[in-house]
Amino acid sequence: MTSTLLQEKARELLDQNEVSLVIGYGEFFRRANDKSLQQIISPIFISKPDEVTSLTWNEHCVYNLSTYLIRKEIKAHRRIALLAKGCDIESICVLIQENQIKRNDLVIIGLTCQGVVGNSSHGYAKKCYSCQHQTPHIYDILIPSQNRRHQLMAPHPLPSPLGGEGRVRGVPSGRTHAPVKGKKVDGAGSGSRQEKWQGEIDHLGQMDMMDRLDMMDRMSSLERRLFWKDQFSRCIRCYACRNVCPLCYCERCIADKSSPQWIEKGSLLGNLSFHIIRTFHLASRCTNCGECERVCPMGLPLSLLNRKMAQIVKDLFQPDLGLGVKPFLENFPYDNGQPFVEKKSFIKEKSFVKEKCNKGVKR
Amino acid sequence: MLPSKDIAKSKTEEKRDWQPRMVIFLCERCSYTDADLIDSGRLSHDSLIETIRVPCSGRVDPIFILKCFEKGADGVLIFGCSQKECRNSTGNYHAQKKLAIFRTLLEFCGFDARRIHFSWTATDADADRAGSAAPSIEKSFSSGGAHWAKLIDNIVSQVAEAGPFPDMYPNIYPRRGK
Repeated sequence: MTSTLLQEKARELLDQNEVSLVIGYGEFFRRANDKSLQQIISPIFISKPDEVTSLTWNEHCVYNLSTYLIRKEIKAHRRIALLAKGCDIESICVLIQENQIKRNDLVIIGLTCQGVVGNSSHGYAKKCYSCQHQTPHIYDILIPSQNRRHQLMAPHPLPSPLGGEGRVRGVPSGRTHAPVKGKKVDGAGSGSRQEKWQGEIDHLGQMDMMDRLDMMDRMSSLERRLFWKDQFSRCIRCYACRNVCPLCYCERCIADKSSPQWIEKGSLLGNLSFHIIRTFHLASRCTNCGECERVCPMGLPLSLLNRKMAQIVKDLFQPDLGLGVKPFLENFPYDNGQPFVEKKSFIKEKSFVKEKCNKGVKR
Repeated sequence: MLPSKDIAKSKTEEKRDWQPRMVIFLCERCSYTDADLIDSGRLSHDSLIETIRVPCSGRVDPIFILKCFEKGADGVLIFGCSQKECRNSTGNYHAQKKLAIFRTLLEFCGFDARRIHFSWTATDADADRAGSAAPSIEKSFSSGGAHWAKLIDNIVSQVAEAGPFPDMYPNIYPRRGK
């Protein structure tokens, strides 16, 4: 019923020539290995009114479609209609704020969302636990959802980047990773350490994000380093996290530059740099849509980094984030507390200065 | 014997036969000349220090810091102009903001916070604020080499406490520069 309403609205927009393209969720079927039909939700681009019948909206529509808004092919269109859940609206807001897209070139079809399928223990996506807007706060057309909450306790298998079904059946993405074969990362007592942290990593996926951050804070510096070393050593540098992110819109990414090569390629050394710099570039911009973690074929806990970054910005500078506020790294209040600048207490040691100065002058 | 050397020695002689390798980013408007004063004032310090001259402390991208550690540095220090004295109006604020959050992020990833430092260059205004009633010649000198040498000693000893920078992937990718 919701999908029918959605299709009508999309047909209207295309018929009246208000938009030249509708970006939405399409429903397809594919043969699984056991010859049974499997439902697949995938992004769909509609430019003809007859094609709107594939449009759908249900709890499996997890993708953040705003990532397509910054692609050249899409920008070439005159006006676009885009399906957006409450969480996707946040990304669109940042893109408008940073002058990447114009609000007038966009028709936002808001979707009232009751949670989408994901890898958390209850079947919801992790982002749904910190959901701010079930009904989008910015939209041109609103598609209401059915009132009851989706029955997500037994989620359907969704297409997985790994092809296996282990990762998708309600299994948290933080833990099920393909073991790195023949490439044992060893250090001091790596066997016991791996065993020790494996349990923790298993646990990580099921925990609430704030608990995960708390747990990380309780670790010692060494433990944290070993934890991230384990995590980053699994990264295969497919750059899926970067490509899917709606806010990574640099035309030439620093990870692709080869002269000078700031981020090493083809070695584990660059993995750390890549992930730290990726997180840093999203400081105070990341909207926690969780797409980077969802697409990661190795299941790295990337939203942990992003959430920590948001926490750091909030703790150190407490900016008011949101639409209408300047981005964090673009405004400079002149009294922002100076965290971590070296204390110049030694200035008070006049005797030291005097002694040193006198000697200097005499000589 | 010069005082800074004494201080450096008194700290180093007991506990470290190893010297940390430091990279220092110097704003060419203020701290680069301060670094010069160390030489012209014949003050010196016993540390392995590489200085890199940048047009403004705002130029220092976080990737520079990571690259320093990759290439074998044990600590990084970034010098900027004092508050409200940046020639590019907001470069030092930009640097401070960027590096403050970046350092905390590195801490979260298991780096030792004692390895990364950011400092304003001390100025006359700072000396005044600290209640110094020294004559002008002292003040102008104090904004230069002496402070600089003391601050460097301070920070080098902090980095020395943190120890050599640990290799992230020692057996897979040997670390260069050492």
